[in-house]
Amino acid sequence: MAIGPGESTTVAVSFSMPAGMGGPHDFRLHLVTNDAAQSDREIVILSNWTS
Amino acid sequence: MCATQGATGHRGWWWDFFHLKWGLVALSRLISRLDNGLSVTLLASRLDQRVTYPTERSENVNVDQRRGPRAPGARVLLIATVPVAALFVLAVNAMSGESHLSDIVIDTTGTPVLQIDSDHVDFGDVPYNQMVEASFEITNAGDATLVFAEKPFIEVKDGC
Repeated sequence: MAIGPGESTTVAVSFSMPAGMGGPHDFRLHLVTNDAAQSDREIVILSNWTS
Repeated sequence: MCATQGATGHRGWWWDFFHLKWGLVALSRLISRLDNGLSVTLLASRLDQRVTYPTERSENVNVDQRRGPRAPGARVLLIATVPVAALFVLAVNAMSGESHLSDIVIDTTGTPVLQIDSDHVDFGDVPYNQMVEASFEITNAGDATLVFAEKPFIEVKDGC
């Protein structure tokens, strides 16, 4: 996948948690690109699953 | 009869070789003369013909003397030949139909810059089996193509 200069795209993520796996969760979405300044960019996704 | 015709009509491969050889010699001498006049004139025009070089005998001689005798009329031939050659080159370029500008490779060594509208999302409390979704707009704010080395992936940092 490649994005030209000035272009944009959307990355969508979805989560669901079954019973018994509750509690706080810390997910990280990794974007590994050829941007030398941030070759592995992380996006923090927090959630707390309850009954 | 047949033997006589064969002998006078075609003298054999050695005869052709002999004529070919002397033809090539004459042609090479002509080219050498023209080339001598051309190179001397071009060199002299660059050096303005007033530049002198010392010889082995510590004498100062001008460029033409240093290069030896030149064929008479070579300069006249050169003056007549160069514009014609230049016109020929221009004509060939015009007929080619393609501009040489298209052959120029522009070096675009820019830098891709990954830009995200948000790098943090907190869903808060979420009931079991409920689906939550987040989307992030990724923009290339640089001046070179942004390439993903691999598909975006999720890492579980904390939790199960």
